[in-house]
Amino acid sequence: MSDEVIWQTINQHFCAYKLKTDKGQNFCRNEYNVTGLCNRQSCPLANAKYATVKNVDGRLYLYMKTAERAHTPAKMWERIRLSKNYANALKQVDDHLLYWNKFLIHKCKQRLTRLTQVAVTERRMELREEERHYVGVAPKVKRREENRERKALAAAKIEKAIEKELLERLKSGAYGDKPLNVDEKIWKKVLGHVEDDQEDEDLEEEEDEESDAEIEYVEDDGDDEELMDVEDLERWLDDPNASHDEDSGDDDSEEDSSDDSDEDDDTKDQKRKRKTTAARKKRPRVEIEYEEETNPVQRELAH
Amino acid sequence: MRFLVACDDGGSIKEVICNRQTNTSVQTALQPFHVGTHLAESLDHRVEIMKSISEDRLLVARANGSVQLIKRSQLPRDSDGKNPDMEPVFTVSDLEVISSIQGLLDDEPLLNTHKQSKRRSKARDGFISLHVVPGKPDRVLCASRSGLIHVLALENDSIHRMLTHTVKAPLEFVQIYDNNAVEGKAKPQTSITIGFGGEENLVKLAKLSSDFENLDVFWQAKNVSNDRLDLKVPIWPMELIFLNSLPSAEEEGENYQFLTISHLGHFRRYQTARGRKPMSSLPLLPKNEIASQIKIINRSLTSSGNVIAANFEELKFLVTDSKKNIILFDTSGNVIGKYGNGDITGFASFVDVIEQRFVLQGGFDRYARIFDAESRNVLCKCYVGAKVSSIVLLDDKEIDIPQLETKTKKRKTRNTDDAADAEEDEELWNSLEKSSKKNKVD
Amino acid sequence: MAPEELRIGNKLKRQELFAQLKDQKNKERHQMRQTRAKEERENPELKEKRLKENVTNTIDSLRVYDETYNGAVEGEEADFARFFNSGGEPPKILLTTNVNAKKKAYEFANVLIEILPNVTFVKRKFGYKLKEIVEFCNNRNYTDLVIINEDKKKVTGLTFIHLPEGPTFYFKISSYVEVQKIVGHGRPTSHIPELILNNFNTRLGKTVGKLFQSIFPQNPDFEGRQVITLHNQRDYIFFRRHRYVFRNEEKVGLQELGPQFTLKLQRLQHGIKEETEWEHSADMDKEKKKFYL
Repeated sequence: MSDEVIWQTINQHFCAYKLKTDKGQNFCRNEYNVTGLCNRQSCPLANAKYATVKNVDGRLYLYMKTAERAHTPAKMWERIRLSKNYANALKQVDDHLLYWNKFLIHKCKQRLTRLTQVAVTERRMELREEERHYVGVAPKVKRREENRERKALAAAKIEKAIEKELLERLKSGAYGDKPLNVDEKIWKKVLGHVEDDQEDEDLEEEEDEESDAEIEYVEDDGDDEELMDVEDLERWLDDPNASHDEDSGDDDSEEDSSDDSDEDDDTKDQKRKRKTTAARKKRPRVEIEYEEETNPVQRELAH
Repeated sequence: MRFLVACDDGGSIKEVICNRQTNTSVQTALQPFHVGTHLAESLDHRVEIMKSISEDRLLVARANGSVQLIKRSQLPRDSDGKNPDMEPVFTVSDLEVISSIQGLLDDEPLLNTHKQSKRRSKARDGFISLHVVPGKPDRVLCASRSGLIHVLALENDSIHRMLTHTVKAPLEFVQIYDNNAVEGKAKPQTSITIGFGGEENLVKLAKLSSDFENLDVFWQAKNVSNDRLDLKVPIWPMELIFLNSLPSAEEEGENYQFLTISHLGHFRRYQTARGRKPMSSLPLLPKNEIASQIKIINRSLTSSGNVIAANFEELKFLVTDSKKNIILFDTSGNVIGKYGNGDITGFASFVDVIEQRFVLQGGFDRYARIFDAESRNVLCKCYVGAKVSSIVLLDDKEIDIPQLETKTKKRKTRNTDDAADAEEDEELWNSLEKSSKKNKVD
Repeated sequence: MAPEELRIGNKLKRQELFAQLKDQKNKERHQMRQTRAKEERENPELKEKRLKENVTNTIDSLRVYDETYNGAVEGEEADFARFFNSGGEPPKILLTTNVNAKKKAYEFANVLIEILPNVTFVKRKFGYKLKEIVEFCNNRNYTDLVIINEDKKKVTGLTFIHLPEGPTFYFKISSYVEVQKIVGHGRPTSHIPELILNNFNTRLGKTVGKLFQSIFPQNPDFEGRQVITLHNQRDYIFFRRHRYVFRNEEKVGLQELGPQFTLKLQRLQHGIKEETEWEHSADMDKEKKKFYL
């Protein structure tokens, strides 16, 4: 069969390797095609004299077929193993396709270049450490996990669990003898629960705590930011029924400014009271200094 | 079944006595009769290799560089006194260290190779093998990852070091050729053949002279040719198993044949007379998966795990990977099945095959399991509370539970029950049929 | 019971009858409840007894038996002790992302910097292998390496590598809620928060719990009244941060500081990403009531 007849069939009728597109350019899926395009020149079926470059198990080969061997399909292709050296391989292509048409020589060289590049990339990717391996997750599984998470969250009742745990810690005395995070009245009550007959000690402790609080205010002119924080905390401590702390955290800053006057009055009152009751105790001052030192350090590390 | 389990976390050895169908993960299933902890030391002194050398002697290599000779004695179990008639009768073991030697490990050689190593964690020396020399039951070869091969002598219940050979580090295995010992050919004066290798350390065969003075490497493997991307295939044999050697016609020496598994899961077969490259190299695992052990399950094995057979055909072997699989392959690399699929959740650090019947498995999920080798079913599963590094099966006898009488009684009552049930069923069916007829009439 | 079971041909009649029956039943029930409430008001013990007897079965209470649940095992301490540095120094953490990370990863890193103590963020450079990074950290006495995993502009995972010898934890991250999106969130202070670990009960769970315990410092500033919670429920670990106040001896007020996210353990590896100790697989999900943490 002449090449022209084959090409007529392929072009006009049907070719199993042809991949039609709507852009006017058809592609070819035949593995011997040197360009990958479907046209007269690069059709490996409709050209009795044809050459291409292929990668077989990591080695590059130059494949050639000629009209003389067209009648023996088993021996149709003559292949030459190309050198691993790119320049030598190009020379080999030149030598073997000496009097072939320019188109095939050019396309074979182009294909050789591209395949060499692919091999280099592949090798580089292989040597790179695989950082993570990807695992496909089916939408069904994803949905199931989401649902289970949602249900687990509902069953967890996290806030209740936290409250329970905190109260347990408070009552078991994990916060020490003079907890800094509890209002004295509450602490007294908790202590009352634990040990009823130690009221005298309670009184002492109360004094101690008051002195603690007093010193927090004495130290205040050192660091403005710290003062704000402490005041915030004090406010939290002092009126536990203040609802805005819980409900409207967004407005915190505004409220801070607007409430300042009231707060100041409150705190001044407290200062006076505490000064009168427990000014003589000076030991806790050391503790507070320690606090002042640690906080900025902590902040530095955190940022 | 009675077996000893070496545990990592507490450095102890536990004795487990249980029957088949024991499963500690199911509350209603049979539970082990006895789990006794012996010789607990600490994590740094964890047991790395445990080997039974005779009926009542064990050798234990610990991570702090000591090897201990342990005597096992049987004691009748203390009854807890509730109802002595109903309790199963068995003895428990008592373990006692009778002799030990220290300082057999050395981190130094590993520090140099660590830079090139693919292992990310800091290199620590450890024991990799412990073999009784074939034909000389009072000599023990003990090898460490850092390339130290110690010859230890057992005399009068005491153990001491005779001498030490140093080979190239790091090692993954040292395997001793003891197939001729099985046939009774091993004589005290013949030299001993060992094979070893490791990361970037090709498989080497060496002869150890009969007085243990000289160690000569007489054969070294060659790496397989580059892969399809023209990249060097990493050298990293993980385990080696000898087969019976073929007597070679020409020259002196024997034609050793062995198989290895590499870190990347390549199964390779070698014959020393056929050249230094493997006869075949089969990739068993998917890309980037790491193999750690290989065990042959359908051939009888020597005491150090070599195959008593002269050809590679129709072998079945199991390979463990670094995730959680224990995969059974045939010689052509096809997967036959998996042991403990879905049940095992961690890396199997220890796998052994006993007499083609049982597969012992222990690992990072802190269970010791025994599988039936043929059907791959779990026979016992016991939680031991620590990572398992080694298991020794002492016997596979079942322990009688003295409840036979009650059982038969139960059976009888059940039989009568069955009869009654059948009658009831009959009545029920009759009534139902009647009612259905009625309905139809209605 | 449905109206069809009354076996009356006439539909209207049947429905009428059924309505009557239903009404009657309702009345009976209400009556019963009323009398019970009355009795219980007089005698609160009855109510307690009833509540004690009528405990609903939940997935958590029907959990599949696990022999390691709440049991102490020998050797545990030695294993856990590896998480903490000898000498009890505070943790020192290196935080980084995967290579080619996008903006979301850096945003999440900012959040983590606020939460984790003593943390240094390093931008991940291309071409360094994990082994080299670990070596770098070891030379600088870091105790933990945290890697944020970002994929398709979403933060999907967190890797915790304890140095120098592992283990390595990989968690999946889901339902991350930024601080700004939490209604009524407060502003955190720089005090070291307390840590609450809830429900880490099995052997694996305890290991995970120990990881978090070792990452957060052990000396909280109580006056900050901040608390970080890692609550495990059905293998999902919920992260929350609150400020609390003791309103009285039975009541605690909580203000959320944010952020919220959920972790799910996918993999626990021995060493630095070496042998797997535990890995989540799809067939573990088959059983709804089997939990591993």
